Amino acid sequence: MNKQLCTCPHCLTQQQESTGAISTYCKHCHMYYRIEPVRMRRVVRLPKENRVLKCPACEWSCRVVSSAMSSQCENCGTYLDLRNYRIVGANGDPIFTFGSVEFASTAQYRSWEVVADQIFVAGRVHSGLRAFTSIELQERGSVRGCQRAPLIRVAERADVVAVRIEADTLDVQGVLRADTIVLTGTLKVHPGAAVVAREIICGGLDVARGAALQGKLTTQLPAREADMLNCTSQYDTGARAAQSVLVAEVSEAQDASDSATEIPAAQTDPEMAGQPAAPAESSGPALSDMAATLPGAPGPRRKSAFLRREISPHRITSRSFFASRVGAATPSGATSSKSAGYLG
Amino acid sequence: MFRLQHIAPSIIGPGLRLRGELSFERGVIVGGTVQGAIATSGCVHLTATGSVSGAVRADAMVIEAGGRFEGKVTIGEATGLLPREEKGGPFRRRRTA
Ligand SMILES: [Zn+2]
Ligand SMILES: [Zn+2]
Repeated sequence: MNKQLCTCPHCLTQQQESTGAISTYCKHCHMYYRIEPVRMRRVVRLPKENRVLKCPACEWSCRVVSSAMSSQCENCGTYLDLRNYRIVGANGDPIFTFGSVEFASTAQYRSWEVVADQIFVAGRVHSGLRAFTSIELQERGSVRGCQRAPLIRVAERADVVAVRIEADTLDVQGVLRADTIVLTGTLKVHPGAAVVAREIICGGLDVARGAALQGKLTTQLPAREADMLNCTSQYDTGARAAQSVLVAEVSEAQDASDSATEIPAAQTDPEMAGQPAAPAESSGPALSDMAATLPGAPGPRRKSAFLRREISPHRITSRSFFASRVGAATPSGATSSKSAGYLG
Repeated sequence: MFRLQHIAPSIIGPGLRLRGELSFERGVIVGGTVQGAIATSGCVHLTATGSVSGAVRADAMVIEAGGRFEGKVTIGEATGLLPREEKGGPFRRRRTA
């Protein structure tokens, strides 16, 4: 408890009292006296509501605490999921979150659509993907379905097969095969990267020497543009707004080495996995570094300070099973090697 | 937004209209209108005023915002990154699931 030092007005003896106390009896002379309200009383810090989200149901701008795991729309009461997910193994749970979703290399996900703030794909995804900020397709990532995000990035050494891609900016450093690519902005293909598509519609193009591109390309045709806007309007309403209003937050996110040490704690107590107690964004620093160097990347990133929630095909009941799964899914070694993958 | 990073000796200025198959040794900057195929071992740089309808074969390509293009592009054939001439179309379906 917070204590304050009080002085008896009768005998001038000092004694400790709780900061909440308004009167007391002197322990020395046993006289009753009032305690002056303490101006320096420690202020209880309420978490700052420093993140603004657009409600997917009513488009109301909701202010939420950045470290919150979930919230409710202030206007219509819709549940807002703010957790980060990491998908391992075969899974098909529907996901709509304002946090990030990471499909691990072992993931085999099959669903209708995944909606999140940021999506990272290293596994096999048979689903549409919609991100408010960005989608990153990593090594061995494969997506069957439509992808929509302001920024879509195909990482170096990634070999991605996607069906349809809709974005403002598409940044390719690996190999991308797609049926249709529709961009309001620029398609950028870095040296050593390749894009093969049946149809490409874009506002601009930048294919560097040493890169490869093949497909039927169209820019800026009025009819096409109208068509394109129809496609993008679905994410426009929520995504762009959410992107623009995501408030930068300098968080207490710890570095990768810290997060690696948090993992054993989760192993010992499965209940803790979903709790915000341990800030562990394993790939946080590496990702934000990467994003900061990207051309056209939306500026400040939100670093969340809570554990990713593991999704497995089976509900986790056995403690030992969970321990082995978490250990296999996010060992500290994988964290560092993955970070190296992003940056290398 | 874009730099003229691939300096090309040939320039098709605004107001110039060309039709037919064009070949450039060291790339081309297109500010005018081209109807037909362009082949070069350099860079095809389409400026905001440029317009090309036709196939392009080049080593690099830049289209500035506002530049108009319609046609098949094959960039960086020499890199070996592109799939071999395919039967069904450029989208080579690979079994992933
Ligand atoms: Zn006293
Ligand atoms: Zn609402």
